[in-house]
Amino acid sequence: MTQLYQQPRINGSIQPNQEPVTDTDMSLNGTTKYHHETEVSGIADPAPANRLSSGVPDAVPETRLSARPTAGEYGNTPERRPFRLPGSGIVQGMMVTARNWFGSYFDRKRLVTVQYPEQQIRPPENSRSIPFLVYDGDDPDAGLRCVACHTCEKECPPQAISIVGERDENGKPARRPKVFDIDISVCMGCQICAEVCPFDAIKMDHYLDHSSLENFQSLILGKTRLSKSNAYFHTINSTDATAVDARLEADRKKKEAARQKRAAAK
Amino acid sequence: MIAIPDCSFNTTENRDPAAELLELSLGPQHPSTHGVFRMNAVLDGETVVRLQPVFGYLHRNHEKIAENVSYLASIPYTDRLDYLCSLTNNWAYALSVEKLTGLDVPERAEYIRIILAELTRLQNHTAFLGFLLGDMGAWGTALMYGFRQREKVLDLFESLTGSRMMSNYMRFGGCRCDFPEGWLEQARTVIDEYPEFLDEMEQLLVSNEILISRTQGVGAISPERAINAGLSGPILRATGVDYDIRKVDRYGIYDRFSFRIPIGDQGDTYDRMMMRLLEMRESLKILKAAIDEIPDGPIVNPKAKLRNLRPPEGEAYGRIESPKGELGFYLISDKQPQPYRFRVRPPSLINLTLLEEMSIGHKIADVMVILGSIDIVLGEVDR
Amino acid sequence: MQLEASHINSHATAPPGRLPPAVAIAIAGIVLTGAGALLNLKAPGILLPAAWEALQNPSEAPLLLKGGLLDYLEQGWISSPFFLELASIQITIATLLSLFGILFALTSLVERKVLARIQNRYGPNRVGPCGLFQPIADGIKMLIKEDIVPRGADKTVHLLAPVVMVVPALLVLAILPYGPGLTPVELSVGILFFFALGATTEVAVFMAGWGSNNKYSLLGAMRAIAQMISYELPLILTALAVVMMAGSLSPVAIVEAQGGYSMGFIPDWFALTPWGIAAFILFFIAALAEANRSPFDLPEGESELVAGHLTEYSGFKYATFFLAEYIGLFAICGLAVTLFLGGWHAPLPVLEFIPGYIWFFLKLFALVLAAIWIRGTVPRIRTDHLMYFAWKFMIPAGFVIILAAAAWHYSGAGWLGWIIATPIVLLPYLILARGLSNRYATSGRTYRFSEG
Repeated sequence: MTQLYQQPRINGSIQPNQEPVTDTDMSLNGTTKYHHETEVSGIADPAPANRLSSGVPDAVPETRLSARPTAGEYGNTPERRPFRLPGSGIVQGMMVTARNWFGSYFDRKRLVTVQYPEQQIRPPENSRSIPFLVYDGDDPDAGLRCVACHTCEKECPPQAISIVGERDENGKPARRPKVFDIDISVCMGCQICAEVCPFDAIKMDHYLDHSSLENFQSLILGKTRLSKSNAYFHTINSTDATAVDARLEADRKKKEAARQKRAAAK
Repeated sequence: MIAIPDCSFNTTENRDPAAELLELSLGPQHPSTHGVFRMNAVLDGETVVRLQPVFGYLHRNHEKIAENVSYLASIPYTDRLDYLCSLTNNWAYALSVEKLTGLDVPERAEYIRIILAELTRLQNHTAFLGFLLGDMGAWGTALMYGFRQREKVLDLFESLTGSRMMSNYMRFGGCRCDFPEGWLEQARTVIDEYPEFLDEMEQLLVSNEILISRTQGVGAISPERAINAGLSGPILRATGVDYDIRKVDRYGIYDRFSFRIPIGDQGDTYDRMMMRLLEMRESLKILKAAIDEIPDGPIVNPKAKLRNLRPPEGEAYGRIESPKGELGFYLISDKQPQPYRFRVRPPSLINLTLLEEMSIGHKIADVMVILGSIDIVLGEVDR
Repeated sequence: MQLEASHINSHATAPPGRLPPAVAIAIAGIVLTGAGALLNLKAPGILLPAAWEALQNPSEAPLLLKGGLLDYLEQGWISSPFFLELASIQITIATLLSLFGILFALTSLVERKVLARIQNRYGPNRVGPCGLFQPIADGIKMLIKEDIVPRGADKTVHLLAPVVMVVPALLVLAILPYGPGLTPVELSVGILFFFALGATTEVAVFMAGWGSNNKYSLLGAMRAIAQMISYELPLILTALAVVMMAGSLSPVAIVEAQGGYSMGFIPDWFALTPWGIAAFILFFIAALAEANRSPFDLPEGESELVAGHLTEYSGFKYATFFLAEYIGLFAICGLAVTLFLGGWHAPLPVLEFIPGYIWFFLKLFALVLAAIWIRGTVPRIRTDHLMYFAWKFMIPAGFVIILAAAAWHYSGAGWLGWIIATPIVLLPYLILARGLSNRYATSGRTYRFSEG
């Protein structure tokens, strides 16, 4: 079966190319004149036979063009084109603008802007700006969920995160970050770090006002500036925060049960 | 050695003694070049004699970066291609990776993708109308109306994906997260309100005599030429070619929805504008059906791997009908965490190739309208 | 979901009201001037009765106030009749300049507000209550901005262009009749004077375009020249019909010819005749083109020519251009009011107690608002269409209107006139409609759909 899309449909019928289409002279200063004839070869064949993936049906049904617009459609049939007075389109447009002009004094729907610094629309829960580190409890140092596993550092597309893990006195990893920096001039707020974090330790913030006069150091946020409490996370995204809390609690209980089991087995 | 094209015209040589030509460099800083885009135009009076688009000012090395980061890490970069329609970019990329890995997508995720892609189409075309009128000098009225409506779609995007434009939402084998509480109801309200807005827009624009005189017969291209130049999207359909990848490939689950593809016949700026207006109405049909029919279920294939994805060796080209045309991602995998080759087929760039042909013989003011009617986003042109 | 009113946290309803320094200075100036005048003890005795009389007789108020002021000057300061005459002229000029200066400031604010409302925004609302002091802030900003002159510019021409632009715009204000007896200069050839001076604006625009040594500026200036010269003609042709009917080139005589009411309540304005309404619409369109207003703002068409002839101007020179354009708009709208909308005459007999000058300015402001409204609606017209429109439609239509006006006049300006003049005006319009719908699909195109 001939693929229909291989043949261009022009105005309802397949027309052969009457005359070769010549490219316009693209050589602009007369040095490299090239001139070639092209022919209508149809739309590039997307090679249906050796298509690489499943899911795309090979048979494309016959394309039909509806001969005439149905009722309520745009435009008018050419036989009965109504006589339009010149200027009436402009007057019609002016009626629309007048409706908006006066409507904006009465209709909230027509005046959608808010006066930003004074009025602020609460962003939706999923909204995101840059990441922050969640800590449980009151102590940002002790409660930090981050275990310095470097997952987010590896996955960060623009490589904005740099982590140095803390080591205890024996030189063993202490499962705590010593340095956790995010360069927010590089960060694009894609939330992949929050997505890949296995410990729900990094989440996306709503806070946007990060501008500063200094270009470099003040835009690299360290651990202290990034750490925010779980309570804060609840205020900006309570759905996710509650789900995370439940998950962590379940994890903790499971671990607790396993430990008790182990203790009982001993 | 890269040959740098000579972007300047020699206006003194080969000069027609009857006409003194004026070379005018429009852009890259110019009010209506839609970003950092430059056109070197040669004018005879106000008529364009030659025109050369110059781009690359926003080149960000997207393809090379993608060959050096993991498959997952490229998704947020695809947001930044056509930054008005990040969700369709995500989809095209996810589709090609799914082809590469042979991943299936759960049904609910397919519905979510279609809903988001059609919403993206809506908001892109809405913004397009505003920008087009802005290019014609309508002082931003249509633009503000468009943005008023587009904001509602962006609000939907924000409450689902977390960001208004940089969504980073689609994942290989599904989507990242499910709808939050009440999202579908809100989406339904937005969709129900849309026809009212479209009516208003049509009243404002479609029969305006000035708009008609500035768009009809301006920048017309023949279907043969459009096909030869590889145009796609509304700009191709405006010339009378019936080609929409949603119908041709039937990727996703587009075959489950009944919608029609508007076909133009003149291929001029007016038809290009009308294609978008009519397409929006068809998108609304798809959206309504999709929201009514969306099933429950998982939103991501459980077999899908988020990290350390190493697709089998091979190549894949996934393409979708993005609001601007055929958006494709060509990937070659050599079983590494990074693609061996990553190539974007950007509709904006390829649609732009006929700019000179469309513009020659028209007035300098028409060039802006023609450029606007192609609907380019420089993030995608320059990548 | 997010745009519910409950989600909008209003932290503060409005910023606290503080007196901007500019206002404080202005108030101090007024107080000091008043104190100085009061020190001369004759002042209250002369000025207060004049002010009281002006309050009682509002329609004569400007003249009474001026008379009082002149009396005061005569008794307290000036004795020479020559200087007194000069002072009289100065008072008129100062009044006009300050009046139109205030109107300019007000309009620049109203324009931004109205455009914003048309576009569903608030518009300027930060400086002062409802953004009322925005024009002052804009003025200060313009004054303290750096004045940049391009290196390759013709510096003299570049400097002179805004001056040449603003002078004719101000001069033509002299011949407009603002009220009965309130015409600054009662020229018998006032209309001629207006068009003669109005045409010099083109020189200024071309000076700006040429002197800037910028391609955009030059293109803008070329457009401006072509446009203004083309649209002078329909402007003059439609005004000619009025001149024919009134039998005079004097604006005062034209306004007086529109006095009175037919059937007791329909004013005898020229705009309310079959030829007059067409002439008024044509005049207004041409006036928009003449004042470089949207949709005819091609010289500064920002989507293609950045800012046209204004591209290389900044600071105070730019402000002067801005001022000249607005004053030009007021002047031409004032002429439209004079020619077609009955000048100072009230629209209804019962409203005649409101002074004439208020009616004049109300009508003028209504026309300015219409211009703003149009600007908020339509896209810009293209150069060649603009020229076609002028030469192929506006000018022939102008001749048709003259014909219709003659028919109206000779058929007695009554019901017979309506019967004869209406088809003369309507027929070319319908022919145009026919021609347009042949050339463009004015009522939309038909599209096919692929069912796929």
